[in-house]
This record gives sequence, structure tokens and C-alpha cells, in this order.
Amino acid sequence: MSNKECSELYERIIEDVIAESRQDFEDGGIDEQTLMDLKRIWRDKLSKTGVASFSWDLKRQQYDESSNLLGLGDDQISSQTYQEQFNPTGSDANSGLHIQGLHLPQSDLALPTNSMKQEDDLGGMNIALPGGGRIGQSDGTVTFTVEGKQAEELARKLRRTQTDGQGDLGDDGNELGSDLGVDSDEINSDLDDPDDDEINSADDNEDQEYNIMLCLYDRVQRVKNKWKCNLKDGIANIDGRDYAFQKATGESEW
Amino acid sequence: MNAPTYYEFYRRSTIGTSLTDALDALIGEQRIQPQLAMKVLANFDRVTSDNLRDSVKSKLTFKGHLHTYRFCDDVWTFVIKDVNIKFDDNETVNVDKFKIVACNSKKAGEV
Repeated sequence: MSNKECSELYERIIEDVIAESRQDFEDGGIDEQTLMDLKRIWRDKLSKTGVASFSWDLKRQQYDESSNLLGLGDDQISSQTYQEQFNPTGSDANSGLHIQGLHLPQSDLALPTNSMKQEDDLGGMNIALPGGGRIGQSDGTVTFTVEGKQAEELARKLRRTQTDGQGDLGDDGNELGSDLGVDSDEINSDLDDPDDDEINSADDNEDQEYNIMLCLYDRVQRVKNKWKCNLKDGIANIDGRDYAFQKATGESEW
Repeated sequence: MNAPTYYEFYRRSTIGTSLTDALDALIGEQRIQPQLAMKVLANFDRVTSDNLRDSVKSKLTFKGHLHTYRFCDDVWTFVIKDVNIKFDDNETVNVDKFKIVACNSKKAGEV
């Protein structure tokens, strides 16, 4: 079964909630950028759950493909063996980019354009600074702080393309470490214990619940040990996918 | 004027938990106050209830063995085992265990 309707529902919920929260943000003196960040983080976290596929995932995929056309494809940078370390505090970021040292053998990282490519035949590492300066260095670790859109762009690229080693990425409003197992809500995690069938099992934590249906009931009937229920307006998580329904009817024997 | 109240339990869904996580992240970075997050969640309750009521058309049926039932504070909770869930397009899914939390439709947000 396609759960397209659920994807559409979720996308609409995000749009509506963001739109309706705009006034609340204004009243609280919080800027639009924070609202947009909320939307972006929300979408990212939702995508990571894998409960449905969303239009923004598709756009990102198309973006990847166009990147490939520009010669910036994953295969060119997938052989990274270095560690990146962004400074998540974002402090002292006014000048845009700080480089304290780097360990990026055989790569060529250009900021703040969208390009990031690696040239394996070059022995050294070059980073182009916004001001046009370049730093070449062959050992040490790199710590730099990037702000705004460019940071998002770069961080996303790095996160997407890193295939080995450990990454510790972050900038203002980004929790990029969370897809590296730090904050994992994945199915089959310890939270999804099949032996735990207590009715209260999930009530004590606010983590993601699995194989659960949240809905309204119109009617619940019982004849001897046979139960029938008429449900509506529900969201169900079934086998790792989410489904939305207008009506559901169930029969079960106790 | 009594504003209609909306159920908060949809916050337990995937879309709800990812919103709470996102809000927590912003609160943790001290970019928003918890009070603002509560307002956003209230907006979420309303938007989700309205959208589920107005724009979702799918239907499904399920059969299984009722393992546990509970009716408390006007909320039904069922744990059903060996469930067969059938969707609109006749496709079916079997799951070992399934939990249903259902609130009374009569007191939902609609006036």
C-alpha cells in the first residue's frame, strides 16, 4: 500500500504549523530564520525516521544528480579518509570562516561556493577562503565555522558524502551528529522490544513508538469475547511506515 | 467564548515526535523559549486534527487477537496480537503486535 496520503498529510501539517506559528514567533521576538530552521530540522528529523518519502527528499535527490553533472558527485568525494570538525558553537563567526589547522589529504575544498571536490592526483590540500586566500596544509586537524546558508549547504554535503570514519558536524541549529547514531530512534533499536507487551510500556517515555495507531473512536462494541471498533482520523505506524486513515474498522477476539 | 480544545496525543506520532525533537534542539541552543515551543505544539494539535478530519480519505480494516484492553479517562487502549491489517487497495500487512490509542471522537476539536 502506498502511504502517499500520509506523506502529503505530513507535508501539509508542517507547512500549516510553520505558517500558524509565524505570529507566535513574531510575538516572542524570534526572527524568521529561526522559524525556517525549525522547519528544516523538523523535516530532516522526519526524513531520518524513514516512515514515508517526502517531496523535499526528492528535491535533494535531484540536487544530488545535478551535482553529479557538475562533476561534484559522491563518487568523487566518497574516498574521504579525513575527519572534519565543525565548530558547533558558532562563536566568533563574523568573519565567516576560520581555519585553525587541517588534515585533509588529497582534497580540494572550496568555500563558500557549492562546489566541493577532491582531486586525487593532487598531493596537497587547498582551501579557498571567501576572501580569495588559500591555505595549503598536509597534516593537523581542521576546525572551521561557517554561517548561514553556505554552512547548511556545506554541512549537508559533508554529511551526505562521508562514508567512513567519524564525523562531528554541526552549526547553528543543525544537529548533524544525530544521524550518526548519537540520537538514534531507529526501528529495531532497544526501544523496540518485541517481548515487552505491557500496555503501559510506552507511556513512560516520549520516544518514537512503533506499530501504534493514534486515532479517535466512534464506537467500541463487545459481544462476549468479540470486540468491534469503529475508528477514524488516525495515524498508524505499521512495520516502519506511517499511514493516515479517515476510517478504520477492527474485529478482534479477546 | 470557549475555544475548541484539541487532543494532544497526536504528538506521539512520528510527525509529532520529530517536531518535539526539533523544538528541543532549538531550546537546547537557547534560540527559543519553552513557552514558544508549547505554542507551536498547540498549533500542531489543531493543524493535525483539522487535516486528519478534512483531507484524509484512506480506509483500513484489521483483525487480530485482542490481548489487552483498557478504558480509562475516556480513552480506549488496545493491544492486539497477530494482527492482519488490510488497506484500501486490498494489500495486507501482518504484524505480531499492534497498539491502538483512541480518544473519543465526540470531544474532538470540531465544534
